[in-house]
Amino acid sequence: MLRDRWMSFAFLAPAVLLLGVFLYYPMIGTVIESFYSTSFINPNPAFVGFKQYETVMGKAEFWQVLANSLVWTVCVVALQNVIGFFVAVLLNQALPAQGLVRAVVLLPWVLPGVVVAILWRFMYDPQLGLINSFLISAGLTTEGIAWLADKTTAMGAVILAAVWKGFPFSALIYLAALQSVDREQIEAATIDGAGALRRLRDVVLPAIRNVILVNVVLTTILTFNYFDIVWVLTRGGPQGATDIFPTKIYELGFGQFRFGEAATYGVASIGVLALVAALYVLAQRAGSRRRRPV
Amino acid sequence: MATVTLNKLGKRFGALVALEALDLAIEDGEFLVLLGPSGCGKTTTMRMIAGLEEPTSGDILIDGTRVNGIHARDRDLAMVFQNYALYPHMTVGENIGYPLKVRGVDRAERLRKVEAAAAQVELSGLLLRRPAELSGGQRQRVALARAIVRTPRLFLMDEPLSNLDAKLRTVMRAELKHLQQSLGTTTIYVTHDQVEAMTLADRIVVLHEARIQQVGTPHEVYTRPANTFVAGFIGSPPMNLLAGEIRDGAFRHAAGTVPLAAAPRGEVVLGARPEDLALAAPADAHLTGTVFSSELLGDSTLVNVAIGDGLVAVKVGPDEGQRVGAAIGVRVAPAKTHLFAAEGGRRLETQP
Repeated sequence: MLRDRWMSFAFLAPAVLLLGVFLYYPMIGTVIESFYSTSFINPNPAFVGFKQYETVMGKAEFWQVLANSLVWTVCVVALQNVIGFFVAVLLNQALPAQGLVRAVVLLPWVLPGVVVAILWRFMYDPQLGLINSFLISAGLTTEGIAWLADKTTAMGAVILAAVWKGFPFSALIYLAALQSVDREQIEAATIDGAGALRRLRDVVLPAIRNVILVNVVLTTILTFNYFDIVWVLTRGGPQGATDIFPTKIYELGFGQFRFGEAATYGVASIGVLALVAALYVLAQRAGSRRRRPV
Repeated sequence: MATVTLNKLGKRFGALVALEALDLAIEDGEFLVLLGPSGCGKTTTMRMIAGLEEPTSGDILIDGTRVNGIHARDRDLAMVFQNYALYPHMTVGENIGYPLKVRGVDRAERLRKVEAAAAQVELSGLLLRRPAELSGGQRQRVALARAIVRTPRLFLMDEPLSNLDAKLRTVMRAELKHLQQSLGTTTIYVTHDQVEAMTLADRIVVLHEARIQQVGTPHEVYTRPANTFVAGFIGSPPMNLLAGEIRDGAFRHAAGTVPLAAAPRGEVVLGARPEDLALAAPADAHLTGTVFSSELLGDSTLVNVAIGDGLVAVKVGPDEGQRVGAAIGVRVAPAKTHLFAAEGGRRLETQP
C-alpha cells in the first residue's frame, strides 16, 4: 500500500510540476503583483494593499473595459454559436460535394488570428476596402466609411471579423453532435407527427444539450481572452471603444510598464471568468428539471 | 382499422435493388409478418409504408387511398422501432403522450389517454420515470404504449423484440399477440426470426433478395414451402434438403434410395423435416451414414447424420441419443417428403 502511494505521487509529480510552474506560479504572482505599486520609473515594488484596486476601479476607463469585454464576449459567442449551429444543420444534410463544402466552410478557422485581422483590415479600409467599394457601387453611401476608426462602428466591425473566424469551430462541433443524434428517435418523432422545427426543439436540441453548454462555455472563455484580432485591427481604439481586458492588460503592462495596474486588471478578468464558470455549473445542474406525468 | 395494398412497389438505392416490384394486399385487422434474412428488403418495405422512404416505383394504398408522397404524420399509423426510440430526456408519461401533444391534445385529455395506454401494457406507476431508469422489457412496453395511445389505424413494428433476452422475448411475444387481437388493429411486423413469425402471424410474407418467395399462413408456409429457400429458412432446425435423381419410381442418392410413387423423373431436391425422419438400423434404412453429433434438447434429441458430403438432421425422442461415429440409417416417410426442382428450387406439386 505504502509503495502504491509513493508510486502514485511519482506519476502525478510531472503534471503537478507543470501546472505549478506554468499556471499557478504566474497566476498567484499576478495576484500578489496587484497589491504592489510597480512601474517603469518606480522599479522597487511598494506594498499598497487594495489601494491599486481603488484607483483602477475609480476610473471610468475600467468600467468601459468591463462593458466592452461583456458586449464583445456576448455578441461574439451568441453570433458564433447561432451561425455555427445553423451551418452545422445545413452541412448535416446530404449535399453534393459534401466533403469539399465542409472543408471550405472550415477554412476561416484554420487561418491564424493575425492573418484574419489583416485580411479584415483590408476589407474595412476606407479607400481600398471591399466593403466600402461595394456600398459605394450599390449607391448606399457616397464616400468610404472608416469602420475601424469610428467609435460607433469599431466594435461591430471587430465582432464581425471574430465571428467570421470563429463560427466554423462551433459548426464543426455541432456537426459532430448532430451526427450522433439517434436517427430512430428523429424518425419516431416524424411518425408521431412532429415537423422539422418541432423535431429540432423536442428531440435534437435536448439530445445535444450538453454539447451546446460546453461549446458556449468554451467559446466564452476563448473570446473573453481574445487578443490578436482586436489588437491588430484597432489596438483597443478608437478612444478605448474596443478595449477589452487582454488588450488593456497588454497595453498597461508592456506599453506603459504599469505592471501593478496591469495585474489588477488581470485579477479582475479572472473574477469575471470565475463568474462564468459558476453559471456553467448552475446551468448543468438545471438539467434535472421537474418531471411531468405527460 | 385499415387495409394496405402494395402495387408493384419497388425501391432502388442507386444501383442497388432493395425491393423488386412487390405486390401484396393486407387485410383489415390482419397480423402480417414480413420475414427474411437481413438485406432482403423487409425493413425497406415497412419504411416505405411508414413514409420514411419514398418508393422509386409502384404505389402504396392505405384504405384504398394512394399515400405515396403523403407525409408520415398524415398516414395515421404508429411504429415501434428496434431500439424503441424513446426520447431520453422525457418521462415515460411524456414519451407516451408525445404523439398526442404534437397533435394539440390538451393536457387533461392527454393524461387520461396516457394512463389508459400505460394500464394496457402494465406500466401504471412508472409514468414519472425516465427511459434510462427502466428495464429492457419496460422500455419495450413504453414504445408499445406510445404506439397505441393514439389508436392509429395501422401498426408497424420493426424487429421490436430483438433486443430482449430469450425469456422476456417469449413473454412479450405473447403479450404483443394478445394486445393486437384485443385492439384488432392491422399490424405489419418485420422480423428475421422465423419462430416469431410462426407464432405471431396471421400470414407470413417470406422475402429474399428483394423478392417475395412465398405468402401464406404459418401452417401453409411450414407444410408446403414454395421453394428450397423457404424450406431451408422456416423451421428450427430447418428442413433437410438432399440433391439427387428420380429414376424408376424412387429417389436415388449416393447414400441410398427412397421409394416415391407418382414422382416426376429427373434431377430433383428432396426435402424432409427432421421430425418426419426416423433412425433405423442401416439394413432397414433408406439412407445410410454415420452419426456426426447427438444433441439432447430436453424434450427431444437432435441427431445429425453425415450422409454423403452433407448432414441430415433427425429429431428423435429424448432417450434415443446416439454414439458419435456409429454407422446408422435414416428412414424417410415418403408421404411427408417435399420435392423441389434442381434448377431454381421451385416446389414440384406432384406429391400429395
